[in-house]
Amino acid sequence: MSVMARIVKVAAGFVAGWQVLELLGEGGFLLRPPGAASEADLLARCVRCGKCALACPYHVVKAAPSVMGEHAGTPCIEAREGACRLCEDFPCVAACPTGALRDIAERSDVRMGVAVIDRELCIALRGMRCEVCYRVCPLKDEAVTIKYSLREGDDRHAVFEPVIHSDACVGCGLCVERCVISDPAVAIRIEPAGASPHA
Amino acid sequence: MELSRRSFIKASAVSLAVAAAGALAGCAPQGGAPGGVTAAKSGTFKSVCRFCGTGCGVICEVKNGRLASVLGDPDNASNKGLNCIKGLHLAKILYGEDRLTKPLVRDDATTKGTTGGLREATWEEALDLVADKLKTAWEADKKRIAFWGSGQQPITEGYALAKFWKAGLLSNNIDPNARLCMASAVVAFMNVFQTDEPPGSYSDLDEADVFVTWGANMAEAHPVLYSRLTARKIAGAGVQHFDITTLKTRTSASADKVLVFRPGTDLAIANAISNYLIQNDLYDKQFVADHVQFKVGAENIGHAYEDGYDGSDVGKTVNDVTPVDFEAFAARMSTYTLDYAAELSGVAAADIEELARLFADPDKRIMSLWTMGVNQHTRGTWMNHCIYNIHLLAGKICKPGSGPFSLTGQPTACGTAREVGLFAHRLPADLVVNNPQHRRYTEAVWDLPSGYLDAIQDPGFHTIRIFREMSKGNIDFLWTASNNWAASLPNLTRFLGKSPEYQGVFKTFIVVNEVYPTLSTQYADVVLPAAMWVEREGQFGNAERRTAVFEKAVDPPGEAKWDVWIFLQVARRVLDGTQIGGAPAFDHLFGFIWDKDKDDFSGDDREINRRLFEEYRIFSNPSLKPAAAAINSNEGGQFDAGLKMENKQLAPYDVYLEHNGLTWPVREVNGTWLPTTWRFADGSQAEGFDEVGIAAYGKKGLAGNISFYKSAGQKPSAVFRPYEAPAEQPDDQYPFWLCTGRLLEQWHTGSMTRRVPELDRALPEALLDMNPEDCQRLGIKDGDLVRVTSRHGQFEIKASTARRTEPGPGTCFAPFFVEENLVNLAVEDYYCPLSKEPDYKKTCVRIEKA
Amino acid sequence: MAGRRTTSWLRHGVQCAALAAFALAGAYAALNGTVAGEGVFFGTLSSSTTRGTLVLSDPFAAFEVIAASRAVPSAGLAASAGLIAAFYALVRGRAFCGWLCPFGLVSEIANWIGKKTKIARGRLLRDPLPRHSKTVAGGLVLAASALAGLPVFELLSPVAFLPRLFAYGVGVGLWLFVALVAVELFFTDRLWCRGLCPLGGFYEAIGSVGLVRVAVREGCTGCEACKRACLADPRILDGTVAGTAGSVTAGDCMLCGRCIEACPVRVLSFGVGGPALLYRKSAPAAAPKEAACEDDAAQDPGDER
Repeated sequence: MSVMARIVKVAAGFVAGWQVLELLGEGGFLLRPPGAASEADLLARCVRCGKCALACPYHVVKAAPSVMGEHAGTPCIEAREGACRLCEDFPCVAACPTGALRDIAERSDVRMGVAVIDRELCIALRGMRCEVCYRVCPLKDEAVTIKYSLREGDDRHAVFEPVIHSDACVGCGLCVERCVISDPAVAIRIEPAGASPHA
Repeated sequence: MELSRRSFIKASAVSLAVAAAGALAGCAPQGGAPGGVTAAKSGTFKSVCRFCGTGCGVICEVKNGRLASVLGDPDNASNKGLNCIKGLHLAKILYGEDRLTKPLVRDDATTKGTTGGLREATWEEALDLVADKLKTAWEADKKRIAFWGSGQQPITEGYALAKFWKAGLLSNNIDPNARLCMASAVVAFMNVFQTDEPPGSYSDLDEADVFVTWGANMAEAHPVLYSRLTARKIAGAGVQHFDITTLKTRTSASADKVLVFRPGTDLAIANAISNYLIQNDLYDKQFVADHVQFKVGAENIGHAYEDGYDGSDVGKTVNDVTPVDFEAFAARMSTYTLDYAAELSGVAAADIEELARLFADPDKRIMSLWTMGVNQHTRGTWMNHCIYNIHLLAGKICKPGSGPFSLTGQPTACGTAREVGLFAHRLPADLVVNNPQHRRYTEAVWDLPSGYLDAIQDPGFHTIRIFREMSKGNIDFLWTASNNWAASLPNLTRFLGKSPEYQGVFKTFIVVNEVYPTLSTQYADVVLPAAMWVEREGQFGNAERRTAVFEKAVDPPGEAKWDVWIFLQVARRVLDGTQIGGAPAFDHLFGFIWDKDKDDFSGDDREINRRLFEEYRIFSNPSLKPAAAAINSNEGGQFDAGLKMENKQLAPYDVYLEHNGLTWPVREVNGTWLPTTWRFADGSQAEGFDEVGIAAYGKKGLAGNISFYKSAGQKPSAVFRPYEAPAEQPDDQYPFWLCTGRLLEQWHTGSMTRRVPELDRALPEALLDMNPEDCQRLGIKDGDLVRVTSRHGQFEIKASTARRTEPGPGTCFAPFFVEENLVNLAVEDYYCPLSKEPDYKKTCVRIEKA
Repeated sequence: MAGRRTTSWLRHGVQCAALAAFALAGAYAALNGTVAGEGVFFGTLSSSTTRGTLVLSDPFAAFEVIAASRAVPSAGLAASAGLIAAFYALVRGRAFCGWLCPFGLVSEIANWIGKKTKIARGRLLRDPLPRHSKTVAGGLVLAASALAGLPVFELLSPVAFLPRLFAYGVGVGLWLFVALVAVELFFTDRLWCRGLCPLGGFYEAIGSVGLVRVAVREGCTGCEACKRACLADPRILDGTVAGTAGSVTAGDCMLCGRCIEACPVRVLSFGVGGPALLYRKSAPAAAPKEAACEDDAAQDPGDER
């Protein structure tokens, strides 16, 4: 066999092997579309068919890239770029052929994660009239409520503090998408359901 | 306490400054960038927020000639360093990518309504063209020119403009966009008190026991004021908040009691409360005896369906009132039983009674707060009256914590449009064109020959009339500034020439002063790039009568110019050859600020503003000019009475520079200028009471130590106003009520706020809030595109059941900040016959999946 | 002669149409917004939906899911995968490989380019991989899926690579795909398709019961042009060449039709049938003659077999 052939043979083998190893590596915690029962369950059932991403009318369901290891190709949502809008008919769940996304009859069935406010960065906690997260929440007054208190050191203004209720928050991420604070970080994030030890 | 509070707030402010500056770090000026400024100025400047009528104080930080950050001013008593997120991002509104920096001219009028068709021009060409068109049209027929001004033009700008248009062109065809927001309030103020603007102040929010929001989404429209109201609810004992509304909002979410009423029936609810006070003998008898006169007015006044309504027999009599005695007034009110109001409105009688009882309680301090729900109403003036009737009967007015407070939407609708008189029927300082004494007074201030202003004794076209006439081709020249008529007027289907019978917009020569391309610039023949906010010094007058100066912080970009410069350049050209009292008209009117040889101002920004303001304040300081003082006091006896112009007294300009604004009337007491917090309330001027005014014109010892010295007979008028149905009612074809309005993140038509990335991110789309039951019935899902059709036009928009507002069945709400979902294509243009303010809240529509 | 290549043209047409369908579906979704329920067709090879109602899924992927999740599949999955499995069982398993697989199309193009530009370097492996090595691979994949708790093959499948690229805008398993395409460019083994692809192994396993086969009639000259043309394992034609089988029965047959086109005496054809076709015996072949074989059927210039 020629030198060229040998080189190609070795290179191809190497690349192929590397790819396999990469893909079987560990990923991080991703925000899943509605209907994922648990991380383990999703990873087992998702055949990376792409139909949930195609079905999403808002184009917010994306494929996790190869660097995410075993998650590569599975659906995830980057809330800051585009959050789940909790479509009434859940086309992503309807499209899933293997039941990786399943059992969502209504919005309260969704368990994508829970929103967490960064108390250092949230300007509403300092009395600024923001509460964008509260006003955009599709489950406002359930998943997020406003707690009113007097502003410290100010005898005439109040603090409108958004408070997340983890039992009602489904983790759609619209609050993350809309938060006006981005520097040094977004003042609210979603803790994905998969990150919990019970996932 | 002072120190720690300030340092706490400052500490918060620092981190925000870091955030804001960090976000802007990437926008460092490059050479030649449109925002590039040559002046390497740095420093901090005091200012007022560009947005709502709350008037939060802010501090501008400038670095290298560019606005680096804008933060709430902790020393400003109104907001104590707070802002809403619009105010928080003020630093970015000047620097949108497509900022207009050169004059633009349209050669081919058929390109109107498209994004193209405009080419750059020099100022010389643009000004000559504008002046030529204006002069030609003006000389041919004064009725065929018009100016549409704004409650967002700073005071000296509005003043210079009013002087030019009224005294220079002798035209009353000038009306502000405030006609669309505050006119009902203004007309009612004048009808009831004979003086405009609330007697109370923001301080009342700190002391009230009961708050009543009438059709006002204060949580979103006056955010920092609502924070103040909320603080009072927390801090005070048993403070209650009643939200009276046609659809639940975020304000309702924090109210104690929400009364949802059928659109238009607020009149009945208010009357039912008045009636309750009367029937149960629980009105403040002493107060009524000392301070209130009673009237009935013209009724069955119909609606302005036809263009000729104003001139019709009915239209001409809408302002008629007849004095009656209390018994007659009470008799008319007696039909408004709790049950009747409940049946009409759908609000439980018990709820109305609960509120009525609170009004009846003499110990309860009650604040009524309202804006567009009451004003943008085909009976808006009447509804203002109905609220005043309650407070007058209950004696709950002019007392700390107690009083009817008409909130203003725009930053300076009070300070400019209303106080400067940019209306078709007005002169500065509450004077009106059809009153001879008022004309004489104005002539005295402006050194005009006596009788000169008789040429403008007939009111000109109000806003809707201007645009209705324009749509028929009857306006040859239209000039607009600081507004966006092509997005914010109602019935845009007609006014934008979208129907074949109303093509006038394509024939009118339209000039638009603007800072960004908007829908209005798409219809302009000439676009003039203007200085924005702190790119020039200016003054705003907010909802609580507080006049405040905002300093110039940066230069305008490119070739953008201060609006006053633009007005004067055109005025110089147009008035060339005209004379006033034997001298050239332009010199007469503006010689005190214009250098003919330089063809420019004869001083810097500060100096010109000062001179304009100083002349303007003569109106409320007649002692500064003997001729004016003589008329004010009716020295010659040729009029019925004096004018009491000092009731709106303004301080010298330099005094404002030292303060974070001052609420007028500002009185000089022992060399110090003291503001008035509570008008018509006697007490120490130093503590904010109207001591000087009452001493000069009022009577002491009356009920509540109050003296309404500006009202006719020193008695405000309680005018009985009945319930009359709205202009449209839902039917099979148009079964929904469409309400429109503002949301917190975006200002008006979005031309400024949509260009701020953070605000655009926070609220990127306009959604039609719908009731979930209605959605189910119509097969509409959350997020579906729907078509909304009215008798006037239609638009498409995405439906939402996310409950930002919570309309009941048969109602829906949409905001108007997105051009692509131009809701005003469908909104009716029927207006309150008295105030001429259109009803943006009650158009009947049908909704279908698109 | 154009007539003789009809099957190939048809086959390439179907391969391209399938890929195009996925590309169009992806483009439509990207440009238009809503696809589910209203779109005509969307999805990838792993699963697709037509007209909102007909769901078809990869049966091997379904088995991987069963192994990985250790649970009974949903009715929907059983139906959508079962449909495909039943279809291919009825027809012939590896007809998928021959007529639909995008990687198959890419491989054929790569082989053709390699040949035409002469960069192809002959075989990669000295000996071909063992018979049924694909099926073994398939079995290993299922075991691995059960162990790892995820559908292992779906993670890096070069078969699904292109449709996923169209659907997601992201290619998962890019480097493996690149490596395998490079192999096809430089070597002539059809390494992946003949010896490694577990999906191919699955279809091979269910392939032998298929009703559509390449049938042989009297007149075979033993020139073995068919075996040289065969895109699967040439040994599957041994029976027909020897005359001991009436058709190609091996599950490995892709129904690609190249053998039919290559045969100079035109004794091969597609046939549909039952057992009769299986066991038809014919007279022993005449002694092999030097026949004028069609050159364009020759697969590998450097064939040292």
